[in-house]
Amino acid sequence: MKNRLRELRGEHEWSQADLADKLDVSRQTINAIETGKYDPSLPLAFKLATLFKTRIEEVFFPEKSS
Amino acid sequence: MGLFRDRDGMNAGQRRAYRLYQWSMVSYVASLPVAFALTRHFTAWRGKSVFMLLPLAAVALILRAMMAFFSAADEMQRRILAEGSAYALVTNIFLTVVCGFFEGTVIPVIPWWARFVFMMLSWGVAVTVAKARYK
Repeated sequence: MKNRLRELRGEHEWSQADLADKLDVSRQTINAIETGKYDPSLPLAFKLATLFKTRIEEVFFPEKSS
Repeated sequence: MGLFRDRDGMNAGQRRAYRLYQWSMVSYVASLPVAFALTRHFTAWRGKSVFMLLPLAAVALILRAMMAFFSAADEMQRRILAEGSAYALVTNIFLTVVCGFFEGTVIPVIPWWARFVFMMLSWGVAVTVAKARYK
């Protein structure tokens, strides 16, 4: 799964720690999501989309579209 | 216990659980020789085996600390802890079987404290390995 998290975070000028605080997760979790090492759960993905006032599919998308 | 060795990135709840874990581990280690000494002192008493339950109070505290730590962890941290525990469990299960077969013949009898230290270390290494997968 790919995502635009780093880009969206950059647009808001938030650090990883800022975003982690807003989502009540660790900074390491934000870093792992951004680098594609960890795919968040659906509730966390929805929280992220809500925070960035966008739809979930505009934050997360599959690596290869079939 | 490998679970709590890496203290970076801990939130307040995890730090509280870590402190509880430290104290419960100290009481666990301290209660073992106390229970042993009491059992030996009251050799004639039929109910002496009740002293063996003494370390269980500390074990209950350790479990309480683990539960608090899991509750305070976020979803990725929980996954790391679960993966690490699973790796350590599988390693220890199979090594126990292997040791059971060869102990006293090919390899010497391993003292209980060495098994305890190995299990703790393997847990720490397993959690570190699990953590590295998400870095």
